[in-house]
Amino acid sequence: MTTKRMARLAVAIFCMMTVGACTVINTAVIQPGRGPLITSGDVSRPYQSLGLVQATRRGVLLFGFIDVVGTDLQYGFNEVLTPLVRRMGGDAAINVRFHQTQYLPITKVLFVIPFFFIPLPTEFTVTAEVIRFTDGGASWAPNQAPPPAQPPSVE
Amino acid sequence: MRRWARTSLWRRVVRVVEVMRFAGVLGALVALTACTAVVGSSPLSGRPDLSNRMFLSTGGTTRPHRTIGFVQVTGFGNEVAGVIDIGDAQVDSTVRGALADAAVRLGGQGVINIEFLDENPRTPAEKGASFANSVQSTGRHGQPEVENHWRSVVAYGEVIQFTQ
Repeated sequence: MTTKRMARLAVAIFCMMTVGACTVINTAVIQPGRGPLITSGDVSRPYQSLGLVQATRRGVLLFGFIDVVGTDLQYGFNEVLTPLVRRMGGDAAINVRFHQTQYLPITKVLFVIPFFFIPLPTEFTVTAEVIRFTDGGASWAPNQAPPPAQPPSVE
Repeated sequence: MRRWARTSLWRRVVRVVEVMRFAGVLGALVALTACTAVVGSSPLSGRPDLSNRMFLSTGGTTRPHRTIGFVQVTGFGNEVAGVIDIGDAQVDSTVRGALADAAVRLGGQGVINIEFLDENPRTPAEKGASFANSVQSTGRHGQPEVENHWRSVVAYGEVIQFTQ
């Protein structure tokens, strides 16, 4: 196959993938043990509520792909929600709900080539209840048993 | 003399460029931090809840209970010139106020699985722009023309009554 044909084939495959892709996936990884507990569920440990919190981060996508201020899930959880929980003095954020603006690949491509001068608006929103555990232990996974009580010292 | 003048001019140019670069970086940093809107509320019920107040939680409850019904509340308000908030578009008044009142009217003792959303929060950058636009337009036309933005906060929950 000649180079020109290969290039045309690559462009055609790229176009098909772009046009045919109808599912957008974004992920965020929460490192266990680092920082406050973040969960979309409830916890079984006793706690004191510190209040509800909602953080919304707005920005633009330049040329369809460049996220200028960081409005993806990973940035939102690491740089927005986690510092917010720390500032409130919380040990955990429970019942977390979140949303990120997602665009189809074809939309992003359109804003690269023909509409490169128009920035795409993008947004990340997270809501949660911030709590502080009242049983004196450190933050850990909600389903784990608390550490065994220390045996009394014998004097 | 000419060499001295050229060197002095060049130093001034470099200084101006450095100042502009610094201002640009500072402006970008300010813009980045000004792009996040944070709203919150006062504390809800803890676990265990030892108070006699309405039980409010984004989670469930371990106490035996029966479901009375469901409630959705939307607080509407207005932000004037990016500075003044008028109306009920606050998370606190919507969740701890209107949602709790609705539960009381249904005969409930608590609201569980509360979900809430401030539907159009305003970032510091947007508030600043509203304020600046309002001030400028007032100065230009003589008549006060302030920017208004509709605000709304919605909250949902399940109203319960404890059976023990």
